[in-house]
Order: sequence, then C-alpha cells, then structure tokens
Amino acid sequence: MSGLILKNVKKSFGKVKVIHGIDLEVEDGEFIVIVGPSGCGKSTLLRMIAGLENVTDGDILIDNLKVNDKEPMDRNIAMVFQNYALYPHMSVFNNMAYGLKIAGLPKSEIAERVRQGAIMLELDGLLDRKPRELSGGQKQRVAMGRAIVRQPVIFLFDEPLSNLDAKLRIQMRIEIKSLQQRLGTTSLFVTHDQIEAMTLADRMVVMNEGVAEQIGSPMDVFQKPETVFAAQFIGSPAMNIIKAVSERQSLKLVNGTSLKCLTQSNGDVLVGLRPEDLKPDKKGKIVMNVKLFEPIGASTILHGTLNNSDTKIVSVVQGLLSPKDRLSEMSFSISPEAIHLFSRDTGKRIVN
Amino acid sequence: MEKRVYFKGWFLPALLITPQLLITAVFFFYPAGTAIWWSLFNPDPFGLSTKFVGFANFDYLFADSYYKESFYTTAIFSSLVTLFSMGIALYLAVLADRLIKGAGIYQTLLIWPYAVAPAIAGILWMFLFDTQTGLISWYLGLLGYDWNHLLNETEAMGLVIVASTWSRVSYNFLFFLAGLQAIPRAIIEAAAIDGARFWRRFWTIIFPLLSPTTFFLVVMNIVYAFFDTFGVIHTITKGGPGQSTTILVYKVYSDGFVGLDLGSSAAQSVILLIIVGLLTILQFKFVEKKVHY
Repeated sequence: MSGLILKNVKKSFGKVKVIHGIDLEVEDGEFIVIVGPSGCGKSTLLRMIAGLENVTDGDILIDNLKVNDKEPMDRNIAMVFQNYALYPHMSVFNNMAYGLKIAGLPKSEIAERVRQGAIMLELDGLLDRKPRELSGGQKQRVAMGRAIVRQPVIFLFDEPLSNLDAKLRIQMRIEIKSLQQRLGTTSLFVTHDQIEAMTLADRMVVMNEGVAEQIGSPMDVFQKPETVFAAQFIGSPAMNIIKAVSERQSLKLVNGTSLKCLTQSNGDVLVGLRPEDLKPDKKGKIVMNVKLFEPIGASTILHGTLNNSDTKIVSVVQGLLSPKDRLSEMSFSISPEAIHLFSRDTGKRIVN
Repeated sequence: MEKRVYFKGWFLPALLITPQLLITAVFFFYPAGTAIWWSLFNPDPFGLSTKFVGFANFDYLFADSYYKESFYTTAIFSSLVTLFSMGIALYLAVLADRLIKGAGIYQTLLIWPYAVAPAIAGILWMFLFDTQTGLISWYLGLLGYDWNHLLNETEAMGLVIVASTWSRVSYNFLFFLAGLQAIPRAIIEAAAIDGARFWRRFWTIIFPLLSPTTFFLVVMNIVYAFFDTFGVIHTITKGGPGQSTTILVYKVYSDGFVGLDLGSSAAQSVILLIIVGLLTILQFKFVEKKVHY
C-alpha cells in the first residue's frame, strides 16, 4: 500500500508549463525529498499535493483516493511553510489547537494532543506565548507541532529550514528526521539544499525545469546519477563535466588526454569526474593548471582548468597543502570505475 | 526599520518645515484660537459691541435641550454611517481580494465615488429621492410607499445616512483592501489546510489581523461623520425637518450664521475641537500599542 501516488501530474499557469508530467509512488512512512534549483517547480508540485494549486493534468492519489478536486482540508495532510505561517494573534496553544477545534474534537482531547505534541517538540513551557515572542527555531517547532497534532496521513514541508541560521538549520534537520522516524508518517520535503536532501531522504526526487531528472535513494543519485543535471546538482563541490570522444573503452578528453574507462560506447560523450575521485598522482594523466587553493579545514579545494583547454575543473585533496605542495600544475589520476559517462545529445547516463 | 535624516545646520531644516508650520498656523491654530476667544464673549444683537461673559456660553449650551438633542442626533448619525460604510466597504474589499480577473476595473470603479464632493453627493441623492421628481421615490410610490423626507424625520435621517455612507465607502474600501492584501497568503493557506472554510477563516484569522485597519477606520469615520458630512446635510435637509438632522457641526453653522449667535456657535466649535482632540489621542494610544501584531 502506498500513501501517495502521482500519475503524470502536470501544471501550467496560463500558457506557461511549469511541471511536465511527474510520476511518483510514495511508500507508506517514506521520507521523500524534492530537491532542485529555484523555479524548477518543486514548491508548485508540493502545493498541488496540498490542494493549494489546481492540477492541470494527471492524478494525485492519497490513500488510494483521487484527491484532484478535493479541498486542502479534505485531503488529510498537514503542511509546514517556509515562513512558518503561524497565526500571529493566537498563543502557541491556540495555534496548535486551531485545526483540532475546527475538526470538532472534545476539549479534553485537544488539550491532551497539544500537550503531547508540545512535549515532543520541547514547547511545553511556551504554550501561552504569542508567535512574536518566539525565536525562529521555536516558531518552526510550533509550525511542526501544528502539523503533528492533527495526525495527518502525509506531512508536507515547504523549505521549512530556509529561514533559519546555519547552525539551527542542522539541528532542526536532525530533529525533523528523528521525529519522522518516530511517527512513521509519510513525508514530502521540498528544499533547494542538496545536503538537506542527502541527509533527510529515504528517496529523493531531483527536479529541474518541471521534470523529475532522477528519483532514487541519495546514494543511488550520488553514485549513479542518471543525467548530467543530477550529477552536477548533487555533491559538493559539483561534479566536473568534460567533453570527450569515446571509442570502445578509451576516452579522449577535449585537451587530448586519453583515459581508460569501463563503459563501452562510441562517439561524442560527456565525462563526469567527481572532484574527490581525482587523486593526486605525479604520474597521473589528468593535468590541472591550478588557479586557486581553498583550504576548508580537513581538505583543500583546488580550482583550475584542464591543461591545454578552457574546461574548468575542481578537485578536493585531503589535508592542508603546505605552500611547497601548492604547485601551479598538478597531476591527478582516476580509477576507471569512478568515471561517469553521459550522452552529449540527451545528457542521459550511458550504461553498459 | 526607521530611517532618519540628519542635517548639520538649522537653516535647511527650518526652511523645509516652514511651509507646513505656516499652513498649520494660518488655517488651524489661528481659527481655533479665534473660536476659543469668541466662545468667551457675547456680541450685542447688532454686532456693535462685545462683552466678556466667561463660560456663560457653555453654561447656556449645556442647559439647552436642543443642544443635547443635537448630541443625540450626532451619535446616531455617526455610528450608523460608520457601521454601514465600514461594513459595506469590508464586504466589497473581501470580494475584491478574492478576484483574479478584472480586479483592476472593479477596484477602480469602487474608488470613483470618493472623487465626488460631499455636497455633490448630497444633491445627487436628493434628486434620486426628491418627493416630486425623484426616481427612487417614484418607484417607492409605485410600491405604495409615500416617501417624503421633507416631512418625515426618520426618512430624512435615513437619506442623509445613505448619502454620507455612499460617499465614504470608497475610502474605507481602499484601506480594507490594502489591509487584506498585507495579510501573508501562507497564513490563510495554513488555515485552509487546518480545515477552516471561508467564513470561519474570515472571522478567526482575517478579521482579527485586520483589526489595526479597522480601528483606524472607526476613528476616521467618526471624524468624517462629525464634520465632512456638512455638505450632504446642507444640500439635502438643511438640518430639518425640525431639528431632526442637525448634527453638531451643522448646529455650529445654523446657530452662528443663520441664528447669528456667534458666542454660542464659537463655544460649540470649541466643544467639537475637544471631541476631535480626544479621538486623536485615543487613535494614537491604541494604534501604537493595543491593536498591533
């Protein structure tokens, strides 16, 4: 059984098509992260599931019931908004109890549910406060509490961490994950942050320009990106993409360098090399003209170009490079298994 | 965030505020001061001499049953005008806020009546309800209702309330619409997901969040009904029949310029001045503190 099914869901605003047909089947209790750059349609997709936007074409099923034409309140979902969207004139208690009051629950049960939700989110001392008297992290907890107490079938999160500072964001990310695991509620989480996506998701949907580029577990997406976009969007620093011509199991890079690879193909391709897969090797074939060293503590990021070409490449080297190791020309090698190949026409991964 | 501009010398800032100060002095302080001065004097019937009478003008007013009646008339008139013009405006603004297509045209048309001067608005409504030639009174006649606001006190009051309300709806509409549009969409959406249907959302979320606007408008509308409706009343009923539509500001005029009792008229002006002062203080106190999120 699955909590949520999307069947070829499309959305247009007037003549502008923003979502071009998304298929997704979400297992019960699964944590799905929809990740993509701004304007890719990820929030629109979430709002369609919530019932805040009409569905132009396709079907949305919640608990095996088609909900396309149902009002948000009849879909048994709860949503956490980016700007918290707390009711500013109500206390924390009333914010959390609002939906329950409308549902007509008895007062004792409302009080009990809010109390439990508040304990779970460490809000028990704040129930009488107004939203303006709370910090950003507390507001976000109240927004989550409001969602939890309604005991919905699905949680929808619309970039809930974007307004928090970096430290709080990491803390809240962990809290959301452990909360979801404890409650076991199917969740959809929209973000533009690939780290959030990697850490939270059971499966992630990488979206770009209204298309789901890849749907899979974070490790799948990272290790076997299906498109150039997914390859570059997930992973930091982003994967290096180099033009090349392939002939059987040998690659000729744009600057003339030859590499061995395992994938069989012939013709124009794009080669994808993860920065951390490039190993410093004096005999390595990949030569980089280094323009900039960025020490980030445990490792150093090297920015430069592939020699004899304009192609920019990045590599990550463990440790801090001492000044005498910071050469203007450095050589790297890469194991054939770590090379990704993509079609130059379609941007799709070339598989054996 | 507050932006402040600092000037180094005194000359430029003085130059910049002088026009405002001059206008305030000439058109506000000077007349107000004159009114206060005159309220303490009584001219003889021929205007040849004046005599200092202290607070006798005020004593006389507070003992005068006509003046008390005018207070009562003003209270009814201003509360009904405020209630109706705000109620209608809020209803229209809520509809306009939900519009997707044609919102611009709808809003523009609703704002037009604001451009009509009160006196013109009064004449317009007077024509519509004219006992001899009025269109609406003619229709009412067909329905068997004999409309005559020149004789019937309730009808006269009703008509000036309708005319005053009509010319005020636009103003209130603008503020309510702006207030509605300032409420974050996400809050409304959160309430929708929480299960609140439209009217429930309106009364539990939207209306409370509009309260700063509402409070501001209550004060502004009371002030409007107290003063700016003079033109409407003057053109439609001239305060009649009897004294039934003589609100305080109209009484200032009729006692002073028709009855030529300048001392009493000045004293009434001073009382109105105090009322407005109190309303303004209330306005600032509340808007600054209570009704704010």
